[in-house]
Amino acid sequence: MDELLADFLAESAENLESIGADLVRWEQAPGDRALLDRVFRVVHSIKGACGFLDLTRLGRLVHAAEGPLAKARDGATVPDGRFISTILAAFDAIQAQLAALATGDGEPAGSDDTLIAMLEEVGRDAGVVERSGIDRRATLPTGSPPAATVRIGVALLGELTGSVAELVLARDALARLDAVAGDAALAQAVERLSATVFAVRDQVMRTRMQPLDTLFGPLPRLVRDLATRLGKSVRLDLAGGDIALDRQLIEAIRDPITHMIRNAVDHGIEPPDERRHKGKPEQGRITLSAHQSDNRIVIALSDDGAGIDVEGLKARALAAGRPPADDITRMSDEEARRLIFEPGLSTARVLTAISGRGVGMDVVRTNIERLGGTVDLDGAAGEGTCIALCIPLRNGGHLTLRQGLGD
Amino acid sequence: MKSCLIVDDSKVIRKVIRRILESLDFAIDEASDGREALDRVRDGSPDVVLLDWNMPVMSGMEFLRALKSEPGPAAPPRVVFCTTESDMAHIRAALEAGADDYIMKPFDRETLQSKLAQLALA
Repeated sequence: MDELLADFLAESAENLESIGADLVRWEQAPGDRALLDRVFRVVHSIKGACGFLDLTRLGRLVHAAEGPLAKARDGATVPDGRFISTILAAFDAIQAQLAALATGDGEPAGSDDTLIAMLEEVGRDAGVVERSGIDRRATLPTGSPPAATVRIGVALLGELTGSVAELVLARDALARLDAVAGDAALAQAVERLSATVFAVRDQVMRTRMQPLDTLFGPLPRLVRDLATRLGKSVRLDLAGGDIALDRQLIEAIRDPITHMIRNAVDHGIEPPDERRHKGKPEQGRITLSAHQSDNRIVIALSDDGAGIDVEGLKARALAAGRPPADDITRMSDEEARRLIFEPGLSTARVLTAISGRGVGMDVVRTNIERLGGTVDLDGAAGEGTCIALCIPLRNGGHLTLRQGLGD
Repeated sequence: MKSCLIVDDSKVIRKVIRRILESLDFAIDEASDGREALDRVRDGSPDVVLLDWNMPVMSGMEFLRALKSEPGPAAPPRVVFCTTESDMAHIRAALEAGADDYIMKPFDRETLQSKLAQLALA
């Protein structure tokens, strides 16, 4: 097992043990602040580590548990019976997942949707509901439904891909021999073999694929949360989530896309007042769409916000002293907009707590270019922005298989 | 060699950050809460402090206020808050209280490096 994961499990077990007794008497003392602080800190600490360790399922669960706890800690609500029962149910589920992780087989399959929905609900209306209390045993998700899937290690999948590439090469060799042999029976056998080999190749390819929806899924929530925090109203439209891509590629574009969405909500979409003043609908609109053509995938993010402030950006670049002043003054608007890809240059006039001081777009560009892709930028000031990531699909395991076919 | 003090109550997170910083050639010191961090700053005068928000004994914010209020070392450390989304509401207050910057957890090597570069530390 990874050393960090082992440390994480040990630390979490220790933390959970330290509050174990407190949890039991929490129901008798729901208003105990010190206790609430300790409970919050344990959840918060697990959540922080989940991010670094890529534990997405557990991370999602602890994030949901943290919400109502933060509210209670900030005094926005007083925990009642239902609140505590739900948090306790979350602790049970967290412990079950930690135990599963300790077996070394990665995160357990399954979903915590029911529990997360309940946590969201107590976070929403905690303190105002009746003190009914619920039987937490009854509400615990009782294992995942019997799904027709098995989990398979990425390493094994890699080996399988390699073997299939070898298989295709062997078929090619055999087909060449067949071409000179001129034996009808052999030709028939080679044809049958070929059909099967190609079918296996396509099937293996499909096992490596995931729908983009696995990436798109959490985004509406992210947008809603960010927008709420900023006092904005933003709607996110998604398209193309059914397109399947190699899972490594999906992982590689997850962060860049999250960054771009953050930027769009934070810097792109204007506050409702300003939008009304400009004659735009109060609700801002962000569209994230994926489109596959030939050998590339294009993922476009557009918003109907303020657009990139070209003059502001030039001024910032001049102040930063790069690129050289002569180049900056000669730049067309289109060239100048691309300055957002320079490290540390942001047009945002106000420092905001969400996307920070212009960090992000330079990282986005670097990550996409590392995949052999390009980032295109469009949009005039005041009319929103469109950023398109264009990524070639011939890389990684994909390429290995294709090369085996000689195309 | 620049030096960094990592302040976080989670040993796991300290270790993750330590690995990144070691690869960036930093001398590293650690503290598990704000109180301990104040002692480490007095003893070691690090160039930068990477500071967690929620910690027992003394929180990140309390540490920052204490640091800013005392006549510390000649060159006080830069302070970068390591936050998660749930702390975001407080970030503005932290920056107003004198934090130099913040970084969202989880972050990778590149993000931390560029953050430190902006503070002229890497």
